[in-house]
Amino acid sequence: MNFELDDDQRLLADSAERFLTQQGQYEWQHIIDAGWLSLPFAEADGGLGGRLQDSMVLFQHLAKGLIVDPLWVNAYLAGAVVKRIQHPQREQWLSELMLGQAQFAVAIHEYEHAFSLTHHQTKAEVRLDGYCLNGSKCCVLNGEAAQHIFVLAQLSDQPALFVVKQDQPGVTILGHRLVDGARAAEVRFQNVLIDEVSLLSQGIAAVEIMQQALHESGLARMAEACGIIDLLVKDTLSFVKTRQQFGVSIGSFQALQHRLVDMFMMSEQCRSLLLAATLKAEQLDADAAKTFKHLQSMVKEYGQKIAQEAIQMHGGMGMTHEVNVGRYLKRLLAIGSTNV
Amino acid sequence: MNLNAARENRQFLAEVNDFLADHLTAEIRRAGQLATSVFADPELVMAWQRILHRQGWAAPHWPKEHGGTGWNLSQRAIFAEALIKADAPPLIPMGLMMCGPCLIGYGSEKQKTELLPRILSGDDFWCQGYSEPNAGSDLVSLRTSAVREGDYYRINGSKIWTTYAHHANKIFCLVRTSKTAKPQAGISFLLINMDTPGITVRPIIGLDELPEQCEVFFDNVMVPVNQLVGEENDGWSVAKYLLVFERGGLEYAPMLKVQLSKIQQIAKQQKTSTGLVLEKDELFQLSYQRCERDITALEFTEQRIKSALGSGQNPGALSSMTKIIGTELQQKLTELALSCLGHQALIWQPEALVPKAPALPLGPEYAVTAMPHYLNTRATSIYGGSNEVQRNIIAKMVLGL
Repeated sequence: MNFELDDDQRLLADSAERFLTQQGQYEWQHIIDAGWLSLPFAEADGGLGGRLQDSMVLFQHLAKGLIVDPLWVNAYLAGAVVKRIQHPQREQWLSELMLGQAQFAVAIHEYEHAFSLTHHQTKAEVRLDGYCLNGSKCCVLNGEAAQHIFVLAQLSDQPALFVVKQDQPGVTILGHRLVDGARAAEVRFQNVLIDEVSLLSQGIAAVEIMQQALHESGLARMAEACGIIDLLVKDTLSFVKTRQQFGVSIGSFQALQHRLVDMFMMSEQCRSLLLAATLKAEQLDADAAKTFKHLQSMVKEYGQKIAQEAIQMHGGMGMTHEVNVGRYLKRLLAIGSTNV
Repeated sequence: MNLNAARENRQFLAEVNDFLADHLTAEIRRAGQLATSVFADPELVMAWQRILHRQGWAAPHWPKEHGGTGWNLSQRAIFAEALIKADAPPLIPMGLMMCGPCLIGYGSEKQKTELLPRILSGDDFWCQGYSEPNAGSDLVSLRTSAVREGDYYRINGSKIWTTYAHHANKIFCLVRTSKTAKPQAGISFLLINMDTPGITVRPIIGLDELPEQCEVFFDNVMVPVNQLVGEENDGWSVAKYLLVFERGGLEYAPMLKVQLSKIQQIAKQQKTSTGLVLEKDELFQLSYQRCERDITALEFTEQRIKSALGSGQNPGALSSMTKIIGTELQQKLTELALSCLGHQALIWQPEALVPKAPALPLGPEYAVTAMPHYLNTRATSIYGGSNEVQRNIIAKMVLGL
């Protein structure tokens, strides 16, 4: 096996550094300019034909910017859906998405169906020339900015995937912040009339599209989490080396050293499992889905543990936004909870 | 980045498996199945080593000119994994993994010519004399003394936790040759015949009631000066080299994967109080999936280290990490195995662990090994440099603390 970055991957990693603003963020225009929106799409679709491992490298290095949801939701989550559907506007959507001219969101979850892909309170009824949609979806990332929203809803007794325009009559968007500072929205549908062609898929096929999209895009999300975990270990190490108490740096205490070693080892294990899950998915390995689930569980468990230890070792400062570790914890919580 | 196993690797694996099918006898395989630690029945392990030696495969990690195979890293990993999957008993490491590499690195030409072939063939059975009652993790404080008298050293003192000293005909020892210098600088690396007058061996009965460890006492034992490896007072360099080899030479994931699949087999055969197959039980699944997850991660951590090493480089402090994670997982797996067995695991019948014993065990065989294995595996986080010492090493060498 070979785990070295190739030249293109090194360029991607460098570009993540280059487009970070002085405030330590990524702005929408930068995301467009950097060309990252095209990375995960096949060359036949007008994309860069990046492999999963290329996106992994990019997202590991984007972690510093903290909120990369507009990139992730458009090119990865919604992008993975667009790749897998038939629709008269598919080519147009792809091209507008990659140029940043149109934005997308995917509405999956409901307040009482936090994890379900198969059952939804949001219901579509058959009408003469299409469907009528009623219900609401919660925590829709990028929901305010999106012009096109992919929606999972119940069509008679089956799950179904629809596309809805944000400006359609009966659609209400209630934007809000998430704990990490990202934007999301509750999206309400009241007698929203949609045409026949907006039913993209139904039954098991619709669930499979969503599962595949969550797997493919989730790998990028996990890469970002692993990048954050590395930053937490790095920041905490440099803090304990400089923070003086009892006349010495607190990093000289064995009680802390062994815990820091555990943080380091956990971060290395996450990185290894990220590689395993990404490369297995790329090669359509029989264990790919299982390893991805393992990765999600490890990143959630270890990431939270590492962030909590980082805050503890930073002491009171760790409880403030003066240092970054608290922001990193919030971001890890957001990544660990949404869209799994 | 690339996961693909090359075509030649698959051919190589087929070659290894053909060999195992022809040469790994049922009796030797049984010694592997009944082993409750890395040390299987010595007689059958040595028989297996002789078979591998005839094929030229006893020490794949040695340089070719000294009897190694010349295989690359991935071939060595394939070979090791195939042996584990086939239930071959692991070869006893003291000669092949520990003393041999030290002689290759620091031995005189005469020592290499005389001793290396005898390690490969199994004609010499080595044990390791490092730890002392008051020198465990703090090895450098060892006190067994070697006082120069003409062409001999006079040795006095004692060693402890000397695995299989009661089977060995030779011991490699760390002894104190100078008390004036700073502690590391006064240690020498010495080879000693176990039949030298003045040596007494006393086996220690462990928690598993098997005599695996020993105490070795030296009472005015006279050892020729030419049995020194490396320079006098420079034994610490030789020992450090060996410790790195001991830690870096081992991959844990292949062994852990086989162990986990055995636990899954047990869980398929047991039922819960509600009649559910244990394998489907949620609490079992939680522990099982967590172990599988951590093993997959460790497998890739080990691959990453190997990939970065290329060939022949020193694995250094990162091998401390795989030692900690690997041994902690070994321990977790033995805990999981116990929890799958309930009362059956309590039946104590060490006599059924002897491969040639006529006594058939009460209950299924997997239940007989589970408890001794669990007990013995507590040692993995103690030996080879305790996991606390490994954490000190990572803190200093990797994290710069």
